[in-house]
Amino acid sequence: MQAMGRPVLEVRDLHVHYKGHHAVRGVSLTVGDGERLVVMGPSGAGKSTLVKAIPRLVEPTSGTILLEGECVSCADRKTLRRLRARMGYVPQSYSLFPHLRVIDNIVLPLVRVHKLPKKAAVERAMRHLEMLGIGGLASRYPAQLSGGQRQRAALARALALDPAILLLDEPTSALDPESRSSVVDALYRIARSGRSMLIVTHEADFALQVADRLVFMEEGRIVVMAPPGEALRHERVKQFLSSILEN
Amino acid sequence: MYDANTESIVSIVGAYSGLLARGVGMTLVLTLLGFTAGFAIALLLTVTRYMAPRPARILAQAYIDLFRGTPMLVQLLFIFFALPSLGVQLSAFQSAAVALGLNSGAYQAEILRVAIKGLPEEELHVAESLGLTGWQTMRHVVLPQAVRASLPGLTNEAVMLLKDSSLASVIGVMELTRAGEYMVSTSFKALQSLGIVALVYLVLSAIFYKAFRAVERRTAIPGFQNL
Repeated sequence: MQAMGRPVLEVRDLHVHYKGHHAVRGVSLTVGDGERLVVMGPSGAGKSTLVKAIPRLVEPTSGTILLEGECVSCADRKTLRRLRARMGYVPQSYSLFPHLRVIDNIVLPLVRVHKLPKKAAVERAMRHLEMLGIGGLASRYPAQLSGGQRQRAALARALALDPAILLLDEPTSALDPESRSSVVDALYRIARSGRSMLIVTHEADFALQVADRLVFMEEGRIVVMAPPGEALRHERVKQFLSSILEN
Repeated sequence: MYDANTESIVSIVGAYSGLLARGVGMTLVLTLLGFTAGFAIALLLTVTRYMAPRPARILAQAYIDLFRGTPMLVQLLFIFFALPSLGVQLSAFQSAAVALGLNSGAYQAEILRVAIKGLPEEELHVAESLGLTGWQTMRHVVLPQAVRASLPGLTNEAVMLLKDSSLASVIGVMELTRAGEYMVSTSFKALQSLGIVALVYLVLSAIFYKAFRAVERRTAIPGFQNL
């Protein structure tokens, strides 16, 4: 199962122990340039831990992680900071800093990490907020936004950093249905732009339409990794998707 | 009886107004100096605790344990009476200000620690994932939120410090309590003199609570209820 294009992300035989569990057990995958890899699976399958372990927000126990050929898993602190800034990580909640206005949430890493002048950073931030339809909310604080608006702002921040890959950890799971659809729309828009993405999601429709390949995880292992059409032929994937659709 | 007491309270306030004003001024100076120095020390201890190498972290914790685990009066007496034998000579005022600052620093550091513990782990993950350094995370993400969340605790600490500044009277600093003692010994009216002193402390405490509440309101994050 080869990823299409030049691999942006390579994960080889990754093991992660997290909060007393062997949460990820020998996961290997690649994400090609412009590829959308969607990870699905039941709760406790190790999906979120996997996404957190790629930028080493959770330290892997063993295995290799490469971003554009550079070793993330063996990087020193300074290199790791640089590599992390190339991975746009968006968690399911607490994605924005509550004490900063939306615009400042985006400008902070652009100025402090990417060393952009403030004016250029603000212009870039506004461009991405407008692209995701929330340009008018730039001066609001996160608590003044709906959940969906918050997640779109977090996506705008991740995109403003021009990452090599977006790592999205269930970006819609903490949202009400209306907010969820606004975020899914934004995800469709980002997916169409050709950005490499690794997305953990329970959004079955989105997964099947957007994924170049679908990864199904269970008990820390990859059970299926295939294009959606092929993955759907696996009994366990079918069972899981129908249980999601029933709910 | 009531009229006689009221009359003597008015006459004591009139007779000792200059002394009372000096005492209030000194109490406020000691409290504000102690609180400000304590806050600076607390920030330093917090940054050390979370970011410094292990030996420095152990030293920061030892400092906090020492100043929280011994009476402030003993600390004050040590600074005023024992430090000169080590070659450090401080005036009574300096000793009191230093003791209050050092002691309050330890307590304020604990208040900040609890506030930092309350921050969601996910937020720190996001800061890391954006490529912010540990110091940038502390400066731009952690401390601005932790200080806001600490304000109710810091209000209590400021009022405690206001009352603890009375310990400076023991080494002869003419602050409010010492002024009260002087009034008692010269007017022989303990009830009225100490009643006045207690009332002034009460008014000052109320002003502190109001002032900190105003700071809380001014620094509150719009729409955010938890801080």
